[in-house]
Amino acid sequence: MWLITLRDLQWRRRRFVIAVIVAGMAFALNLVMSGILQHMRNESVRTVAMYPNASWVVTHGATGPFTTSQFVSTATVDDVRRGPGVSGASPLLLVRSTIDQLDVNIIGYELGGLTAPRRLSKGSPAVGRGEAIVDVSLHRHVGDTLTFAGREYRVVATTTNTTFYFSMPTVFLAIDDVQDQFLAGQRLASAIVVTGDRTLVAPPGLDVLTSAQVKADLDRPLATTSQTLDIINGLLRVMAGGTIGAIVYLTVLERTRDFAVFKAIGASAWRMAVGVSLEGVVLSLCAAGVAVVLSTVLAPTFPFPVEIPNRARLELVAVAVAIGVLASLLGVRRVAKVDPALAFGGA
Amino acid sequence: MAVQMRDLTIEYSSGGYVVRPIDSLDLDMHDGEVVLLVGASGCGKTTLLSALAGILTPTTGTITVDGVEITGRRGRELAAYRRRRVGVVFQSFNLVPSLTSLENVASPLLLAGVGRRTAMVRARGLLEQVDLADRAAHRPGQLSGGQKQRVALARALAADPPLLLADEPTAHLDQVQVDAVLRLMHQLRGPGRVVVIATHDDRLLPLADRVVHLGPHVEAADATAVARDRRWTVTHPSRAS
Repeated sequence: MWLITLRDLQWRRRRFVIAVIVAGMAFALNLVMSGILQHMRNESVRTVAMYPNASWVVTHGATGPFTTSQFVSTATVDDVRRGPGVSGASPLLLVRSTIDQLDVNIIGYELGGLTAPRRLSKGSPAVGRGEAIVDVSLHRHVGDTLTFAGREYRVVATTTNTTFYFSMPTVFLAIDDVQDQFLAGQRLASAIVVTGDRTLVAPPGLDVLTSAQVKADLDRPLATTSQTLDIINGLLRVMAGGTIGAIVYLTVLERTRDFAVFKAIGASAWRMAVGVSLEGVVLSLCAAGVAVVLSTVLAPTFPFPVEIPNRARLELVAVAVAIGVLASLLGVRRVAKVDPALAFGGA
Repeated sequence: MAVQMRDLTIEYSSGGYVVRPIDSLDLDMHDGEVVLLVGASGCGKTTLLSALAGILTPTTGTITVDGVEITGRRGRELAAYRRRRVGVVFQSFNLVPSLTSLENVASPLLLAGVGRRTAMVRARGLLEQVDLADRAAHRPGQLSGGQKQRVALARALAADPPLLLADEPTAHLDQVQVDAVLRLMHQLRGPGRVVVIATHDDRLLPLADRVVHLGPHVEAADATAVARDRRWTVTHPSRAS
């Protein structure tokens, strides 16, 4: 049956190439969407991982430091530091701004403290106010000057993988600078990041969040987008399946006489069903192969970072097999109905 | 090898009318015989072939092939019967256009689950037998009508079936091609096989051991066949001559 299937694929190769390209494009977009989703998920993981093994102290009722507009007084940092089992505590202030029409996250941190960025790709840690550390996605270099809201900052270092909220670049500044510029000098913070060797008890009027809770809070605004992309992914798979199913069905219609002959010479129904399904699966797998190549070429052209996980590629192979079989079902049904007596008909 | 048909009636509905091309047919076909089914269009030649091939279930009556009744069989059993016991040469050849001659001949074996190498060796031997070894890699579209018919004949012989059925095997062939097919058919007769040919073509008459005339207004002419409704008859061309 494999040989007969292969020969039919060769015989109708132009049609099959078209089907593979169309379904392959749908699968490729599917992979790119998966890559966008993956990047969004990775961003929140990486952002929280900048502060390993930390607990997060926020104002009572705040859902998380990255989304709250409620602030903690930095005066409480010393109280938290004195708590039992606490080995370190530092304030963190998160705001948003724009630099040259580009939206950026601003993280205010304590110079030399627990919240200072650690993994620098170039340059050296900031030692005073007026110095900035920027994510490389901002395309600024060590020694450049950043100007926003009428103030200038000198870039002293760059870092990587610190984007969040749809790949927005992050600028790290001394917390005092951020408080002066954005909070009119009030000594406030979005959260106090705490490390220690035991479970932290929340001081009065404050809550303690785990990293998992902070990550969930960071993901929440992206949930709708994530669900939308999931739906588009599903539709793209349906589109690929529809394309393959239509081609397989048309082929079966054209091969009615062949199937009648096969039945008349004693081919079992299941063997022919396997043959038709094989065509669908081969088409689908070829489309998946095209998709892997196409998505690798397309991904860098997207303005949004696309991180296609290998898992998604492997998953696509399994999905392609399932889609190939499902898409062939109509054709298989049609073959089952073919009357072998047709073989005795004339031309 | 022998075929017996007893009280065989086949009817079907067409345009709101019941058509009964075969009515109460009793017929024996003996080992080594070549039997010609002749008669006007619509007289039931192809219908009878379909029933013998296990494709069409008779309305009443029985068909017994080599002692095994096939009329009571269904589904897988019938498919197995078609695969092992019957070879069919279809009208218009009905070769698969995407397959080469060799693959067309091997297809019944491949579809029966025979290994590819074994199937190809057997198919190559059959192509040599029909003198088409040099066309093994050609697709049907690259063959003449006579060559296609010989490939179709080789395909029908792939499983070495004891019952060979041919439906209008010379319908689309010129005289030269008919001669070639006749020679092949002649070679195929022999012990262990019954060949049944449905045809309009008088050129096939010399090949036949018996000729069964299907249709109305024809009387019976042989003791081996009993005409109950006088719709068919059997003659022996050799005796007639």
